[in-house]
Parts: sequence; C-alpha cells; structure tokens
Amino acid sequence: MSRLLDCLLVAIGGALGSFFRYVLSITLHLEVASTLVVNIFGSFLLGFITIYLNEPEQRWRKLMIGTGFCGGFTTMSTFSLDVTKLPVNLAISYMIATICGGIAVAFSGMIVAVRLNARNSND
Amino acid sequence: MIEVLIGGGLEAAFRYIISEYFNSRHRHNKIPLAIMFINWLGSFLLGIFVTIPLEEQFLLLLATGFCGGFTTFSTFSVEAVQLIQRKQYRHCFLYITMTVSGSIAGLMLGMLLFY
Repeated sequence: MSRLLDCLLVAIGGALGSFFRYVLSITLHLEVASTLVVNIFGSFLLGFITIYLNEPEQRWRKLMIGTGFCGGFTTMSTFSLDVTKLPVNLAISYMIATICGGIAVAFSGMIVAVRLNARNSND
Repeated sequence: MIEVLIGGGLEAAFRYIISEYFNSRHRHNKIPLAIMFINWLGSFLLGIFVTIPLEEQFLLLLATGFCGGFTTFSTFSVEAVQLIQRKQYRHCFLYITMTVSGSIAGLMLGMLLFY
C-alpha cells in the first residue's frame, strides 16, 4: 500500500512538472533555450532538495518534489532532440552549456541547502 | 494540456518503479545505471514519436508527456555531482559521456528506424 502511495506521489509531481515544462515551452517562445532553462532550473531544485529534505519524515515531500516534479520537469529526451536539430557548432555549445550548467547548479543547490540546514540547526 | 499531465504523471511513476527495482538489485554499481538506461530508452522512444505521423494530441501525450516525464536531466546532474563528491572522477566522466552520447544515438536510431 505504501509503495502504491509512493508511486502516486511521484505521479502527481511528475504530472505537474511535465505540465510546467510544457507551459514554459509554449509561453517563452525560445525554442531550444526553454529546454536549457528548464533543465538548469530543475537541476538546481533537485540538488537543493536532495540535501535539504533529508529527514525520514520528509520522504513523501522528497518523492513528490524531487523524483516527481524535478524529474518530470527536466528532460533528457528533448535535449537529445534539440542537439540533433541544431547546426553542429551550436549543438556543441548547447550540450556543453546544459551539462556543465546543470552539474554546476545542482552542486550550488546542494551548497545552499547545506548552509540553510546549518543555519536552521543553529537557531 | 491534460495530455501532458497524464503522460508526465504516468511516466514519472514508471521511472520511479524502474529505478527502485534496478537499484534494489544492483546496489554495488558505481555508475547509476538505472537513470542512464531510462534516458536512453526515453530518447529512443522520442525519436520514434517525432518521426511517425501523429495527431497533435497524441504527440503531446507521447512526446512531451510520456518521454519528457520519463527521462530526466536533474537526476543526471545530481548523480554526476555525487560521483564527483565521492572522488570517482573516472566514473563521473564515463557516466556523463555515456548518458549524453547514448541518448543522442538512441534518438537517432529511433528516427532512422521509422524514417
């Protein structure tokens, strides 16, 4: 039963994440750049959540926001499609920007969470 | 709109089940294989869906919802950071190159198969 609930939480988060990605892609009108924005923002959020929601009682929030929302919000398949659509030199810069940017912001998200946790435990 | 919600929700749950199952069986793996395979598979499927002629609502359900919700970039980034933090630089490099080149190759394969 609890596993079913876990799946449901992930599904709700994933539906919302995918929905926001879609809405952003049709409102921003930036073509490839909207995938970049989505992936970078989602990576930061997941990095933050991985560290910030670390208590066992926050598990359901982590599943919904982290696995569900961030996972559904960011996308690797559209990234691959964008890479194949772009001319070679742009495709390479796009790949480097997404990967380096994503890893860098995920790391910064983790650092922000560590700082916040430290501040909260001091209070 | 509703197509994206349904596709994204289903596939996020699907991704969760696959990665949990995979991780419970292969605990010792240094490279997070589950998410890598999920990204490969999702990209391959997207290659198929954008190539075969589909009505717009099915394209939204399958491509934007299904594949977009199934594959993930954020987990990939966080896992790469965690590999760096554990000082497994070689595995991190392998993970990044294999995920990216595999996803692009998978997408192209999907496109070619249904061209």
